[in-house]
Amino acid sequence: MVKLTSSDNQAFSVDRIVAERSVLLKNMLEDVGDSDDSPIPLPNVTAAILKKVLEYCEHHKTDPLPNAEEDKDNIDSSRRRVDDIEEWDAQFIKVDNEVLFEIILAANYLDIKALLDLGCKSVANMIKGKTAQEIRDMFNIENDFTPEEEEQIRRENEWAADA
Amino acid sequence: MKAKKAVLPPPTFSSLPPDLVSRVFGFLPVADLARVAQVSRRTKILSYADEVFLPKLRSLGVSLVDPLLGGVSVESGGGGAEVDRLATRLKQLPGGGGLVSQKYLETGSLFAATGPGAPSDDLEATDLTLSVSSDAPSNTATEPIATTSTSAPSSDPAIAPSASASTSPSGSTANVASPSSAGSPTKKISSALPVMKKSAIVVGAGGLKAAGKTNSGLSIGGGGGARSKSPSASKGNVAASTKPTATANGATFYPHLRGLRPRDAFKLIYVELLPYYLDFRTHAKDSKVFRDHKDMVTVSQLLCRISKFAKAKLILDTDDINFSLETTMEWYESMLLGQFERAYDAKQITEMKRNATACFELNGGASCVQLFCAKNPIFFDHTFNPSLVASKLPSLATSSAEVRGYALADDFALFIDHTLESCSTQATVVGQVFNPAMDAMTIFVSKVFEDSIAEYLVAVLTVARDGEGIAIYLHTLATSVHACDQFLGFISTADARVTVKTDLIRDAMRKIFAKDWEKYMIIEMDHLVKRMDAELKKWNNRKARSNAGSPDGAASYLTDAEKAMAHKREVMSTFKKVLFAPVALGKSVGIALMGNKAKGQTESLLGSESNSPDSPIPTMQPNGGASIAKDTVTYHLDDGSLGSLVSLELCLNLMHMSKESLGRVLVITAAIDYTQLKANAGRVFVKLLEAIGEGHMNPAFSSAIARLESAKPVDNWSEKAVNIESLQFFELVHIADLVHQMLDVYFAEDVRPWIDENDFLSDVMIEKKKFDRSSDDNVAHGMDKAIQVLIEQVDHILDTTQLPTDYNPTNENHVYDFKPTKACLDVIACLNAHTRLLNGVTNKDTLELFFGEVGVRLFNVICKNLKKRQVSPSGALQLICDMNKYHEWATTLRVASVPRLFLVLKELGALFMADGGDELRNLVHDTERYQGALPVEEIYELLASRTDYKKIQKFVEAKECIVM
Repeated sequence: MVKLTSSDNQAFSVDRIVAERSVLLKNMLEDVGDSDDSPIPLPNVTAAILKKVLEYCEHHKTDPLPNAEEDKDNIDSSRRRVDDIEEWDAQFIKVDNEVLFEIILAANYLDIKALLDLGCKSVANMIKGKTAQEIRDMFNIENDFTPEEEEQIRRENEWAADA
Repeated sequence: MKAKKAVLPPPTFSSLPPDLVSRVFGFLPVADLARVAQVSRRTKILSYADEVFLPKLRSLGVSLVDPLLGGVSVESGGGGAEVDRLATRLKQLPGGGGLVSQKYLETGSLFAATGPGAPSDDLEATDLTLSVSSDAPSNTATEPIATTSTSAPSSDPAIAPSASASTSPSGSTANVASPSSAGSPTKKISSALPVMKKSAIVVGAGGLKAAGKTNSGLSIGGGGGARSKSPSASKGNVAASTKPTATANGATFYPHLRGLRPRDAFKLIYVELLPYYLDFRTHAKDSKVFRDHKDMVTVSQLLCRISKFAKAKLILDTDDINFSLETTMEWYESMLLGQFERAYDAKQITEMKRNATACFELNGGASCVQLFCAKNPIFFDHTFNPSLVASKLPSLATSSAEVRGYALADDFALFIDHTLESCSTQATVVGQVFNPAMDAMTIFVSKVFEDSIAEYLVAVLTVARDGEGIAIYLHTLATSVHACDQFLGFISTADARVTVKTDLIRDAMRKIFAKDWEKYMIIEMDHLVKRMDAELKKWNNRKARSNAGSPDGAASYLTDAEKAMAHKREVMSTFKKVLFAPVALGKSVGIALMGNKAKGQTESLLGSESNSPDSPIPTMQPNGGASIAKDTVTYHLDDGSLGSLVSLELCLNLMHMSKESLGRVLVITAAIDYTQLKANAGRVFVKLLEAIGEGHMNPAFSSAIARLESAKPVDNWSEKAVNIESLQFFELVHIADLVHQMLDVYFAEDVRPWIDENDFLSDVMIEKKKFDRSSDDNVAHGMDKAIQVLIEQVDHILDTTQLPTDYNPTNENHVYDFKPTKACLDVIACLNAHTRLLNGVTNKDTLELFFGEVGVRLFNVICKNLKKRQVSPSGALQLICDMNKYHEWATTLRVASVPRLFLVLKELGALFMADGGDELRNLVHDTERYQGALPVEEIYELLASRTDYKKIQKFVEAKECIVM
């Protein structure tokens, strides 16, 4: 068992195989060896998010771990379809935007590539098919272009817009 | 980072670090990317990022790295690992969680240096990254990356003029420009890169993944430094060729995209291909592709690119378009193939080449090569018909089974030769028609192996095995393997213009031999053992017959050491000639002799291969030496001593059998599974050791020793000087020594090159040691017995010929002639006869041991003899004379311990001369004289032989009391 402590000082205890979904934890565990069973502090992850992340790791604990080589190939995310998300994952990732971003950040920090991709795909799915204004509204992004700039950007993206 | 922990503002899309945003954008279709760019300045910059477009380019099979500029590739295994490690370390720092992903470290695209003189090293660069990125999440303003504010809005980096060289300054700032002080990790390898090209940026951004399996190992680190390209470098690149070049990872480098930012390059391709692609929504065979282009090769190239475009799923509704595209491509390919086939039938090389090239550009052209193979006349060539193999053999009536058997091998060789010729012809065509990258010749030759050669091979081997027996089967198998091996060698060098992947063809060849190879070693070993057993049995029978007669013809050479040595030398040199004579020489010798086999063409096919069919020695002689060698080997050694227990000729025959098997094993194993070579070669030699050692030598020694044990001293010893059992044994030792030498030579010449002599645990080395030890044991054991026989013989001689009057003359006035007695001379003669036999037989240590033992026992026998005699004072002179003679003999042995011992014998004379009184008493107790070889009691017993013992007794006994 591996002990983890969230940023808000909640203690978690998970199987090593679950914890090792995270490359960060895996490397740490390999470094300290079996002798040290003091809790690992995770100052960037809150209890709520860590719980969620561990739920994901638990569900995927038997998946084959991508090796370094694959990892590099898989970064070709565009090759994979945006909508090829497993049923369980799709349900899992149905969360508020804030939680979704928290999960993405946590996955990035903990280095859990599959979860990071899942999160990113989910965000991409939200963006897909929306107009610029819709996207701004959805993510509460301020339009910081001048009208002239906006027109210029529109022009320079014309080649891609019509498909 | 700590601040973040305390405040914890809920994350928003804007607070995601840039690399994650780019990652999200990477999943978007192109059209959505265009909209995202319009959302805000930040999203615009991030949606233009190299990381978004490089994967897309890669999926289009486009590389922006010019492979000709070697070393531009930024990644290497070491560099990548270094980056990974750094990233992990950074992430483990407090607050590292908000850090950019390791991609930042790899790419350097977001935080890379701009100036060529950027002075920082790796570590500084990453430190900087740390500070910048930790700002990023906490800065929720629209300008998350401070440094972008100046450059991004001011220029439009995205739409770059197509002249790549000029875009670079704006291009480099277009992304998220970095503080100018950021390090350039590539700096340290810059000297190794003659051209620091902008394309390195490209690699930097995605290259770690792109380079993937094909690291150049040359360069490391991020692409930051790559921006510090010099104008001259750019010029140099522009001057480069304009043809697309395939890069190592399968992508293609298009010179017209040289120096473009990934987004710009992607845009060029996208804008070019999209109309064609979308056209498939409504058109198929009448597609824009065909309307715009007429040249087949161009159309193929375009279709190939469009199909990659389709697979990249860059737009939303791809499925319908892709289906239409696939159907069209299939139709187009079948059209090409149809044209190719017509051109083939009409033998129009140019037209064939055009269609083949179009096929190649379309999808690699595998189907076109297949069509070529399928139509090739070589597969319809009935010059050699597998079903007629058996009928082509010479009839049984006119030729022996062997001739028929070898005809099979010859037939297969002719077939392979014919096939090679056909293939060479085809190679010319292939060279003219197919692009080398299509591997057409490799595929073609593999198919030739799989189809026509395999079929013929099976036919030949079946006839060989079922019709002619195992020996012929093995021979045919070996020659077939060898023929195929040679075929392979020739075909790979047949036409310089046609490249052949020998490895792949060898795999095909292995496959067709797989079934036979599976059981080959078992059959080969079984066959070898059976043949050896038969040979041993044959010899045993002959021996049994001839043993009826008395073995009196024992080799006379044994009685003369000089002659024996010369003879051995002769045998060894003849042996070498015989065993290692070039095989072809065998042809000149009579075939009829001892079942020799006609070899004919087989041999010339096999060339230098030392695969000699089992020819008995005499027939293998080179012309001139034939008769001499025959004499030497057959007569002098074997026939001259028919009654002997070991046959050199037999051993030679066994070695030939082993050699023959070894030849086959080497040829077959080397061609099919080289890793087994050592083991298999060793196994053959082990069988030979077993046959010679356990099969031949050990029984011979056992029976020789048994005979020695039952040996009786003979009376008429003088005629032969040595009794027959000893003679036989010594002869055996001689021959065993010869066999051993022969084996060593054979091992050194034929076996050692193939095995690992230093592997003491290998079976072959263990067996060899065992063999050596057992022959040493045999010799030692026999020697022991031989000594006993010799001593008994000496004892017998002394018993029977030493006259009572020798040391006790009846006539007191006997005139002493100072000559040793006859008994003494006879003993010496007997001893000398044995000594001569042993010279040159065994090594010096054994001899020393032998003579040392003989000396001790002889000493005792002589003493025993003296005790039986009566020695008078006048006879004592004779005794001294004899003892001197014995000592003299002892000095000839060159074994130090024996003469020393025999000095004691010399001293004995004094005991018999002394008159008594103090002199005698002193003699008796002068222990130094006798070197401990004679205890006092022995001396008393010897003195008891004196005729005047009564007279001297009191001196001796009186003294004894004192001593005691």
